[in-house]
Amino acid sequence: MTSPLLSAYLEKRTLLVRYFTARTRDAGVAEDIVQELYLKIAAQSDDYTVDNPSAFLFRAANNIWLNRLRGEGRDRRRNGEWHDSVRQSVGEDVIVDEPDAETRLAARQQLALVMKGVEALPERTRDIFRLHKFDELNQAQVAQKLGVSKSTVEKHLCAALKSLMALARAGPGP
Amino acid sequence: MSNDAIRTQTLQDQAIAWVVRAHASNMSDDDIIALSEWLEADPAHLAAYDAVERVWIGETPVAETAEVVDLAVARAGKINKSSAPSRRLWLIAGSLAAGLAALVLLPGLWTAQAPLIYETATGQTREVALADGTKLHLNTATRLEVRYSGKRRDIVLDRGEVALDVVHDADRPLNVHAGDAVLRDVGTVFDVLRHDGAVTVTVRSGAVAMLRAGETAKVPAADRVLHAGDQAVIDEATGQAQRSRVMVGPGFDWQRGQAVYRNRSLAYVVSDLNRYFDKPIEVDAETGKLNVTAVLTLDSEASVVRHLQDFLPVEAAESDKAIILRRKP
Repeated sequence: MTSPLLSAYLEKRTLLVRYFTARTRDAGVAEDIVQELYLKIAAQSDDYTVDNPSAFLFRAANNIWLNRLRGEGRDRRRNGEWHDSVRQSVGEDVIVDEPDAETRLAARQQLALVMKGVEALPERTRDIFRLHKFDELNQAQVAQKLGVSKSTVEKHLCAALKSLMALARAGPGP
Repeated sequence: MSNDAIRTQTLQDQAIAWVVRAHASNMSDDDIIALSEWLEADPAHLAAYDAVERVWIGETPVAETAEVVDLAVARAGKINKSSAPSRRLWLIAGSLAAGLAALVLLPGLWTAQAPLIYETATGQTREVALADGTKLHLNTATRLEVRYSGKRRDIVLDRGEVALDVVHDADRPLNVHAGDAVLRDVGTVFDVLRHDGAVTVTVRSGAVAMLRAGETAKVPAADRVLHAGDQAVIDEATGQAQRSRVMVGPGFDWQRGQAVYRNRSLAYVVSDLNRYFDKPIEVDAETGKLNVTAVLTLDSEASVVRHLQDFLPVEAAESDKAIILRRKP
């Protein structure tokens, strides 16, 4: 009666609670996130399967958390206006809960500013960053598209993020 | 980069490496453990990770980031208090119980129109469409009265559970009375369960204001308003409401014939399940303390009991009057 994904969930639950307790420093919030993931999985049919349940569950739970992180900032900006974080769609989207269009638009506007900052980066780093953040390819897809290894993609993204952090620290440019 | 290699870098570089890793689609169990250990090791790790992750997801505008990073590192150990949403407990201002007399008086305010009474027996559900287009879906063992007048719409939930899809009318608010708790719709799909000394309100869309009997607040305080995904459990004796966030899908669980329990005691689960079945399930106090996280399909009592035995270290014995669950020796 238990689906493969639900079995994987039950197996990985402790692992996820530990991570989110470490991430949020709040065992209650961690439990909430992991329970929310459970309800999303429980709502799927029994034959719903994914290739790599462990990575999938982490990503899905992390998206629940990141949406909360985003919602928090958005709520502040909107002076408390409430935002519907409950989304209804089908298939993997329901579980993975990718950010909604509005969040993505705001993020992209933010990224447009960011791209100015990464223009000084080597071309390869810039391309990889752009493919990942603007064209929304995941790291594996970027690697495949450019015919490089995943760890190469990871290194370039780290370099881009590092320059972003340095830029941020220096404050906005002229 | 290996997890060991990450550890040899500067703090911010470590945080960057971890954020990029965590946002790939292939975190292994070992990665999750290694990242957890790293975050647990030092509050400064978490602060750095938090600052970098917020930039990575575009949550921190770049212009603000320098401040945030400095603040995060300076306040390492405190930042999570201010940044993580914490579990919230609301006290309803004033006691719901204080309004006890109000509900008794309330019928006098209504027009003489006779109330419509809708009931379901144990195990039954029933859908009702009201004249204004509002839809009611009654769950098992429920009794409610519908009292509509030209000026207001009131539904009194005597017992059980009802899901409402309300056609909003600002001039004619719809109130659900459950004991002294009054739930006022603001254009809404929501569920009200009155069971075991508590009123549980779950909102799927729109908003519901939690009032107390006799209260006529035109604009309820923000902390009294429930929005989509909010659930409040109001203790009928004390009037205290405990709020939480829940995942509400396209329907409430019971409308799909399911009962979903997250971290509930077996005693709670059994009490809830007994709403659906004629023959009660019983547990002793000790067995009732078992923790249950389960999705049960409410097809038959026999299969529910069988599934409980799959999930939990319990065995069932059936007598004429009850099904008794005992912890396995």
